[in-house]
Amino acid sequence: MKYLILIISISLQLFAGQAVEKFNQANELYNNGEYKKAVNLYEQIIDNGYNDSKLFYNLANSYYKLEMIPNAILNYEKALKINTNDEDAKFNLRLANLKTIDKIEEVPKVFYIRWFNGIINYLGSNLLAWFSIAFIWLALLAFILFIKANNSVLKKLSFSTGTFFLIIFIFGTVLTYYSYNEEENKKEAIIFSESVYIKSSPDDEGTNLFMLHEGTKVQVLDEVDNWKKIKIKNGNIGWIQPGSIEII
Amino acid sequence: MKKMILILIFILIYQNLTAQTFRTSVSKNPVHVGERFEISFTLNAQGGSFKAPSFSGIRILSGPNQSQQMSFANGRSSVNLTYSYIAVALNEGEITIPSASIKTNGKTIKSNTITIEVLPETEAQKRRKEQKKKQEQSLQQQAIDILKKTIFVDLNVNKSNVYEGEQLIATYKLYIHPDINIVNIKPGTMPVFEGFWAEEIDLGRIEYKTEYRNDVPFRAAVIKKVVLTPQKSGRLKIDPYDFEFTARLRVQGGRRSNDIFDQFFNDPFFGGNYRDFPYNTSSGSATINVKSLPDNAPESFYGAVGDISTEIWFDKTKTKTGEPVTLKMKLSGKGNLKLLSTPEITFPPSFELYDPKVTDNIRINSYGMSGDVIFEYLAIPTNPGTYEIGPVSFSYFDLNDREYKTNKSKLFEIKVEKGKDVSGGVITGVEKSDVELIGKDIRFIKTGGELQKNQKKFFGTGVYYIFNLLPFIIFLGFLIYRKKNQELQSNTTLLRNKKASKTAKKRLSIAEKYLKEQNKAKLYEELSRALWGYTSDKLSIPVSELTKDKINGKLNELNIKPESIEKLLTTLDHCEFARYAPTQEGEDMQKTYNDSADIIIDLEGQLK
Repeated sequence: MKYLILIISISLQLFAGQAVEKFNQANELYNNGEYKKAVNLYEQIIDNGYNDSKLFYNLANSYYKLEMIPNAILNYEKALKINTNDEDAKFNLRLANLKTIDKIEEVPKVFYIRWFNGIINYLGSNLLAWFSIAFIWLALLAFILFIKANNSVLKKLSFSTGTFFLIIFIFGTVLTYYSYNEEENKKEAIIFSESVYIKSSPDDEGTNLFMLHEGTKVQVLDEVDNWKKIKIKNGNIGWIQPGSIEII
Repeated sequence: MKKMILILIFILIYQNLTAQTFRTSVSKNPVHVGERFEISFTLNAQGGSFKAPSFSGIRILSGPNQSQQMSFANGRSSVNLTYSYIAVALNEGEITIPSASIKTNGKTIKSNTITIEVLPETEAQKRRKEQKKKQEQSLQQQAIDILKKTIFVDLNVNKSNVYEGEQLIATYKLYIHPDINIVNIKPGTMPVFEGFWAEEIDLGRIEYKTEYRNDVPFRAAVIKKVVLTPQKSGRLKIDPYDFEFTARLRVQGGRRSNDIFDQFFNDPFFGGNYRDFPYNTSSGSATINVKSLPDNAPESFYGAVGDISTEIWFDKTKTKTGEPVTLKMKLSGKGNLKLLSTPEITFPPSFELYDPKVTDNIRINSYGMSGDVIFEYLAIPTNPGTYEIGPVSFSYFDLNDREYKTNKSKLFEIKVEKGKDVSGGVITGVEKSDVELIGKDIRFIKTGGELQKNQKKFFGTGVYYIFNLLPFIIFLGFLIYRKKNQELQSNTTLLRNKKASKTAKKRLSIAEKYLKEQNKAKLYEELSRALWGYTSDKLSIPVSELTKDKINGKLNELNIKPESIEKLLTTLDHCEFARYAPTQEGEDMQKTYNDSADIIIDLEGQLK
């Protein structure tokens, strides 16, 4: 048994070593200005099941250098989805967005909603999950203490602490669920068609509502026959024809 | 009374009949068709307010002519007032001249009616008429023959083989012999130039000049001049222009079959009448052969054909964001400048381009279209930086060399500095915070470090649920365990309580055995155990936790007699002491054994 674990861990290490080696190789290519080759290598590593935000970030940089702005934006967004607080990715994404045609003004949200979303995004569902778990265990300890205590002061104190911890746990779990939902089910996409009409209905006969250009980020709300219902930052909603967007 | 009235009427009529008569008479009866005759209405008194009848079947040539005649005869004067007409009968048959009326002496009287018999025309009359007709016909024919030689409309085209877009000029010219007096010129339908773009040249007042045609001097005038630009290739027709003239010619009155042409020229001042003759004529049409332009047109060709020079410049090469720059393209020369489509010019994407403004200054004269066109492209830079624009080119088809030619501008460099913020203006492309990013490069890639595998979301996994549920399970388990433990504890107390005396008795009987054997150490040990064990079971305190103080306290709580407690404690003390004491009497062993048994029995009694 012990040997088996050892063998598995060594082989995993070897595998990981290979990926890192490839990664370094790709970085070297990027350094030498061979962006196309670098793109190929980064994508290989990603295909092997790695999804480090560094990979997406570097891939995006390569695309940026190749002037393939929609691809660059897509990968910066992917990198930011994994690591929400990557300042470099944020900066480069802003630069890439400057090269897009559509400048859509965002409908401003109320500041507390922005703060709330910011904090939730910053922590991420994993951290929030551990956070709430810690509190349920603390609550457990407090309640055991409450039962065991002989002293009435200790009993009162432990009960109120336990209740407080339990409330924090419930609140934390709700936040975790919310954050998880945001991360997993909120589908966003980047437009890849050079220019595309957004229609009022999911077919070619629909009225043209407005036009979007490559590199613009949209939110995907629904899907009918491969036509996707999208929403842009200023709140406009319409249908986009199949094959013109790429999900982040 | 009746008689009286009748007499009066009679008198009146009689007087009328005798005193004034108004008679109708004709000069001839019967008459021939077309023969002239006179109709007279004569009143033998003074009168007025003559009312003529409405004649039918005759044509009045003149009249009424009024004449008065006075005569004196036999000392009496008489007056005759006559109204007369000269008339011709139109048709064979009978004509009735109706009565006319006139006022005399305050009365209105009527004339009698006359019926005229109309006979057919005489042979001589017929002949004359025919002759006249013939004469008229020949006169018309002669007039047309003359006009044919004296009035012309010409269509003249300066080129008949052209390229698409190449201009040509069509001229309509009128020629009139100076001796012909034109009364009226009425132009027919205006020609339509199908397949052409037509621009008429403004001729101003029409001026006649003397021009010779076959050595005969004519008065000539250009009446229409059009610059035509063919819009398609193939054989295109230029329409004729029709005119309707009215010419006044002099004809000789009495003489027959005269050459009026001669009359006209030789005898301008004497004799004859003038007559107007209509005359229609047309310029005739022309066919133009239009060749299409060669296929190898450059990209910057926008349909210009001719001889064109190009000037391209920027109004400034340094600007600020939000402040427009203008690229001007001036095309000048000869050609179809009016028909160009607007040349497209590519600006960098950070320039907002507006629809170009077109100003033309094109003259259309006898040489065709010429002048200049200026295209102004207004562009507003949105981002600072240095931009290269161009080189801008413009191509045209040169007709002399029969090939496309391209004029190219130099490469323009526009420096755009950061301008003031345009708020609410047209430029919304870049947010304020992003402006400073322009021109910056992206941050470098990240190197080194381990690579993460697909990171799974923790939420929703089994481990997550286990970690969440485990505390509840543990808590539940804890509660169950505690409850069970409590139950168990209370059970064993009861059992031990019951068992206590039994165990004590067992121990005592073992101790009795040791007493008989005189085994001092074993005896005291057994007694000590019996006492400790008994109190432990009875008080539900584990032996390990049992001390003499605890026993004392607990028994006191249970209201055990102090003597009994005292006795228990001293016996316990003694047992411990005696075990390790080297010498002991046999009676002492017996006494301790008895005491122990007494204590157990005593406590058993009290603790019930």
